[in-house]
Amino acid sequence: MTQPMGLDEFVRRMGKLVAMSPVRARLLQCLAEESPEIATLKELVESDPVIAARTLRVANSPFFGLSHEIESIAHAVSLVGLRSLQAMALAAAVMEQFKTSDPALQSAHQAHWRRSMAVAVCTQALARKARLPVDAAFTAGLLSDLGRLVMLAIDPVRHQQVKELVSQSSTAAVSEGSSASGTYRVLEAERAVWGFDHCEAGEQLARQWQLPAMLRRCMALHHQCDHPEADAMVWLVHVSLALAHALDLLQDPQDQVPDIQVVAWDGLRLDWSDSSKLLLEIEERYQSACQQLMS
Amino acid sequence: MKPDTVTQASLVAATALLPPPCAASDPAAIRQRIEWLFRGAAPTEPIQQLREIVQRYRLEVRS
Repeated sequence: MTQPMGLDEFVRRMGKLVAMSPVRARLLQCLAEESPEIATLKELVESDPVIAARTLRVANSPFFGLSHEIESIAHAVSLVGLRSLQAMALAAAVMEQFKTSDPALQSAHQAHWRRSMAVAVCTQALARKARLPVDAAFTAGLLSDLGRLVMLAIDPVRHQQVKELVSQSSTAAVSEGSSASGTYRVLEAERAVWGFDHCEAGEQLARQWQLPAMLRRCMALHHQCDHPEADAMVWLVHVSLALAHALDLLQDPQDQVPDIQVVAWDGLRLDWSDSSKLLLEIEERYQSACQQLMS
Repeated sequence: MKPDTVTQASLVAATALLPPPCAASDPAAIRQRIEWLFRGAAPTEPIQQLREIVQRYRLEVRS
C-alpha cells in the first residue's frame, strides 16, 4: 500500500483541482451568502449557461414537486423563492465542477452521485418531519460526502485501495461473525490509505470554497454527532444516511446500514407514525430524481 | 494465480451468495435481505427502531 498522503499535501493538490473560473467563483460566493441580492444572483446564474440549465433541471425534478414547469431563472425565483434557487444552483454548480470526462472515473462518479441523491432525498423528506428548512436539507444531504469525491478526483488509485480494504474487512467480518460497523471500517480504511478521512477532506473543501457554515458542519461532522458543533441538520444528514441504506436505495448486494448515534436519533425526535407513506414517497422520488438528474 | 486475483475471485464468489437487493415480495426474502443490510450496525435502540420501520414498510406496502 502507498504511504498516507497527509492532509497538507491533500489541501495543496485540492487547491489546483477545485479552482474555478472567476465567474463561477463569484457565483459560488453569492450562492453561499446568507442574504444575497436577488438581481445579482439571477444575473450570475444566467451568466453561466451550464449552471443555469442544470439549475432548471433540478427545479423541474421531483425534488421540488412543482405543478408548473419552470422555464427560466427569473421564473424559478418567483415560483420557488430565493432560498430554493440558492439550494438548487449551489447543487448544480458543485455537480458541474466535479463532472469528469475520464471514462475510467465516470462509473465511480455516477455511484457517488446516486448515493448522494439517495441521502438528499431522505434528508429532504425527514426535514419536513424535523421542521428544518427543506431546501437547505436537500443541499446538505447532497453535498455531505463531497470529501469522498475530491479524494477520488485527486487519487483514484488510493480511492480503489480504500474500497478494497473495506471489501476485504467486510468479507472477513461476515465469515468471522463480527459485527464491526461498516462506517467505522470506511473511516479507518481512509485514514490508513490517506492519513485522514472523507469528513476531514470535505471540511477542507468547504473552507476552500467558503461554503456556508451549515454545509461545512454537515460535511465535517456527519459521523460525529456528539461533537459540540453538531446541530440538528448534522443529525438529520446522519440519520438520512442510515435510512438511505436501510431502504436499499442503492441496490448494492454488499450494502450495509451504518450505525446511528443515539444523540442524533433522540435529538431529532422524528414522528414515524405515518412512516409507510413517507418511505414510499422517498423511494419514488429517488427513482425519478436519478432518471432526471443523472442523465 | 496472483494473490490480488485470488482476493478478487473470493470477493466475487462471496458476493454471489449475498441476499439480493429488496425487489422480492416474498416475506422470507425481505427479512433475509434486511437482516443482511443491518449486519454491521450496532444493535442500539435507534437501529432497532429503524429496522422495524423499514421491515414493516417492506412487508406491508411492497408485498
